[in-house]
Amino acid sequence: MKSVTKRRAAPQPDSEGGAQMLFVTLIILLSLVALSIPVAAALGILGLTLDQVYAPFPLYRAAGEIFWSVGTDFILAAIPMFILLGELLLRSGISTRMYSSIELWLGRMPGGLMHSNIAASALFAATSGSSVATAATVGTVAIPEGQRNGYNERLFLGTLAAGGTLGILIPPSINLIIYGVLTETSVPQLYLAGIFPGLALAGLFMATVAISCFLFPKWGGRTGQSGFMDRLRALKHLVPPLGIFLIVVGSIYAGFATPTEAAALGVMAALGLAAYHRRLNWQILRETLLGTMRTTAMVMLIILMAYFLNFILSAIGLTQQLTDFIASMGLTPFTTLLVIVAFYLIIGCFMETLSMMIATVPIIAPIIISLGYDPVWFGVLLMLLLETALITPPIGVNLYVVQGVRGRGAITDVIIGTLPFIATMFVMIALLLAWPGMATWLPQQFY
Amino acid sequence: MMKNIFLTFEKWTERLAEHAALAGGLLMLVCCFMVSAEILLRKLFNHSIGGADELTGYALGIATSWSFAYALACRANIRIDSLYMMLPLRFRGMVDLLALLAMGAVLVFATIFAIKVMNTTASFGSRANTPLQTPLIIPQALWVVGYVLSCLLLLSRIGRAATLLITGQTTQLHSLLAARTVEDEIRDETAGRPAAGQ
Amino acid sequence: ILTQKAQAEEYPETKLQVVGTWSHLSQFKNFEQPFWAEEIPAQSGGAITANVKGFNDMGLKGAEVVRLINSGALHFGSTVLGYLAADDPINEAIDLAGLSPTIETARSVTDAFRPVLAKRYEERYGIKLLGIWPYSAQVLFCNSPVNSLADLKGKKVRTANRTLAEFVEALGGTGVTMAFSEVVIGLQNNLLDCAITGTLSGYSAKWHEVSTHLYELPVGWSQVIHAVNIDVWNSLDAKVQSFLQTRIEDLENRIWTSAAEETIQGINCNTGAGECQYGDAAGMTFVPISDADRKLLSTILKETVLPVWAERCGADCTGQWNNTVGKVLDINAG
Ligand code: NA
Ligand code: NA
Repeated sequence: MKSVTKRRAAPQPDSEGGAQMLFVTLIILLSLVALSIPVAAALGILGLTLDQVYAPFPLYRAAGEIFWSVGTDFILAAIPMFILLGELLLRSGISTRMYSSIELWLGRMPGGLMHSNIAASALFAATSGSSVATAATVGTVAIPEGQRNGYNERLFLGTLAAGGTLGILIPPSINLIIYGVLTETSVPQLYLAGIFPGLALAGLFMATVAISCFLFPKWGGRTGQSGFMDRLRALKHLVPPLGIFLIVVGSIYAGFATPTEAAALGVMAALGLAAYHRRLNWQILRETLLGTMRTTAMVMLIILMAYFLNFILSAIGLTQQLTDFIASMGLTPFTTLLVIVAFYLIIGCFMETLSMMIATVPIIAPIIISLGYDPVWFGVLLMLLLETALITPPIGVNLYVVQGVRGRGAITDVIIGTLPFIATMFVMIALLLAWPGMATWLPQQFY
Repeated sequence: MMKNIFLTFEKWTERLAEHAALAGGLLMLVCCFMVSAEILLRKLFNHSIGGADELTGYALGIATSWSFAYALACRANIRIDSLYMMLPLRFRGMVDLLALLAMGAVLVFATIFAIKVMNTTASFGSRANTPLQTPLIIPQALWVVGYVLSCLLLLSRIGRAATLLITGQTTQLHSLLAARTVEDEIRDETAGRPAAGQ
Repeated sequence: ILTQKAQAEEYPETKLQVVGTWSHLSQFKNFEQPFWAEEIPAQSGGAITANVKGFNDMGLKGAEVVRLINSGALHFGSTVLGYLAADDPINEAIDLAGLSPTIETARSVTDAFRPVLAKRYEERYGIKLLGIWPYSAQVLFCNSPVNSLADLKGKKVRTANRTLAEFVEALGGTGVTMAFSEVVIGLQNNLLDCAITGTLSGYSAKWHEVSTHLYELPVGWSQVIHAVNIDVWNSLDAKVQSFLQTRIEDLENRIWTSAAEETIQGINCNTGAGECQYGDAAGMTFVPISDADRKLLSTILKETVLPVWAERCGADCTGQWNNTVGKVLDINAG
């Protein structure tokens, strides 16, 4: 067969070389991203460059095998399925009806619609595997309402950007599935572990709204009026999303399906609902599928390139360098954990979350586990860190999504309105560090 | 003359890209049916056909690669535009061209190595290590088709961009390559398309 | 110490790239990792060093390892032989379902077939075979009473390769493919009735928490091959080559010895039959092998597993098997 091409000797990584290597990697990545090179291409080019500079042998030849084996992983088939599920729910009008129903119940609280935004995000998160989809869907429905009712616009937008992040914490979650694949952790356990922290975070977001409106009563907007019977009748609109949640998450624990299989069942249910609401014709199906595959292709290309980069990082020894470096600092396990949390909060400002997760988890998770922390618990902590990354400027995808849906004014409105919720995220992260049982208690009851 | 050739080529590759993505979407939809049927059979009749997961895995690979070209045509790939938006229009054009070439380089690289995987499989006559023993050349050949299609689309884009550049049509160049603006996003969001899978 | 140092100075400075097996399993943690990271540098007086990690840490699934060694993207690498069956059925030859009911048989089968594999790898992939060693005995973990092989009829059994699937199907069961990380939920929810893995691997993955019966019958050994790209090997100094060959041979013998112990440890840890050195022993029901099942296993091997594999592998491959493994076991693959 083929012979190995001889290359010039590469600089051998020692501790100094390791720091240099890490520095070079970050500089290349940030330059590519700042140049507005598509994220997937930036990851691929970074991988190829590091291979050329640091590897004495042709690592890039592994690319095809990696693309095939990762690209055909059954577990990752959950990604297009969840995207398809979300598109079907939005197009069948289920999201709009769900929002109106929640609005009738929560509209009279101080801060009114802003509580509805968070509750609707939490409920939609229970059917959606994605934070961006959650923010986009609830935002699409909510923003026209907020503009009618005179809320403090910035805080209102903040509830949508922050509430949307619940999408990856409350199961189902594409990111928890990918974390499970990367760390060989059980996805059903991760799902269970995400439920309480997800509800707690939603509660804290609502508390943030309540406190803000208590301090600044004018922010609260007009309160809605509705009769009790109207509200009771509106409850039926919560049935479809709860039904989808039962199918996509409940079926796993009822012994019907694995997480990916459950996503397929969810698509069937959403298809049924769309048909029931007479929103299923070839034109709509065609648009739905095209939208699904457009997003899937983009997300999968990032995943494939992130896996390729991960292979290179691991093969050139950067992974080991970083692990050794952290070990050499001689910190206590808890301090190490805090350093890692700080690391994620910082890179979360500058990186897109999916590639950030795939490029870092294979390095960080083994360190955390070797320190004696529970991988399931860390999975939940990581989701909180990714959620924070989704709303921290300058690169916070949810900020852009909400601004995109809003379609006017400046992005700074969304950024400022989201700041109180970033503080809330910090509180939540501290709570999870102080009280790991919040995540681990529920899975322990089942396993 | 040159311009017309590129226009026709572009029209055809774009149409092909959309059809391929639609086929990919239908393939995933079929997989949802297949997997659901498998679950029902297993639960109701304690009977398993087996292989639904394996076939869905191949379908994911194929559907994804068949949609790469469409995602490119829609300019759907995430670009971080914080600095980009601050640039004057003519510099944006250069950055856009750079982004296109970067994407092109990565996809051509991926295509070459996807073809190598397929060739190795063909020379070994590999069959899946599962009860189905699927001849792997079938899913891998279909998978490669998607990569090749994405290269064709890129080629048409680069060709068009080059002609626009030579003829000095900067406005058209911008609308061909620019990063998706907030306005583009709204159009998609209000049409009900969640933007990304994070 | 002095003699060691004197010896060590003979080796030129060499840096090796090594990819090992699953990094969370005991084989990597107890053998491969310390071997490359500590023993080799120490025994070569620091001249030979290695960067070693499990293939899963690089985002690989194991089946790509040989193709990647062949292409030069990886240098030294280990992977489970059975994972390679897709590219070449000859990889199944020494781990066919039911071929080796004891570890002694597994070792003699492996040794007998080794020259055939070595030749095949050198000619077909440009790869030098350095060692073959096993995981612990591959046994059945079931979540309902299974007292004999006949009880597998109608059951859904997760298998990691096609020869085991064929074995399960010959008994009237269904072979199911499922990711290793999903097996726990599969067993718990009755998506699966049984799953096959090494006794100790199953304990590490907590299968004992979701299954009730451990059937002792080893249906396989999940042998691992360790190999190197031939050009990389040829570029090494001759002294380094012979040093590595001796050390790897020693590693191989140690892993074979420990596999017998790990098998027993796995049984002890899952069932509490004896002292468990890896944690708290679980309370699975231990199902010993009956003579009838030993006979049945051998019958299925001869009547189903071997003929099906022989057809896959072709006349040449089967002939070589008959001349080596066949002679050791006194059977013919047809
Ligand atoms: Na969710
Ligand atoms: Na951010």
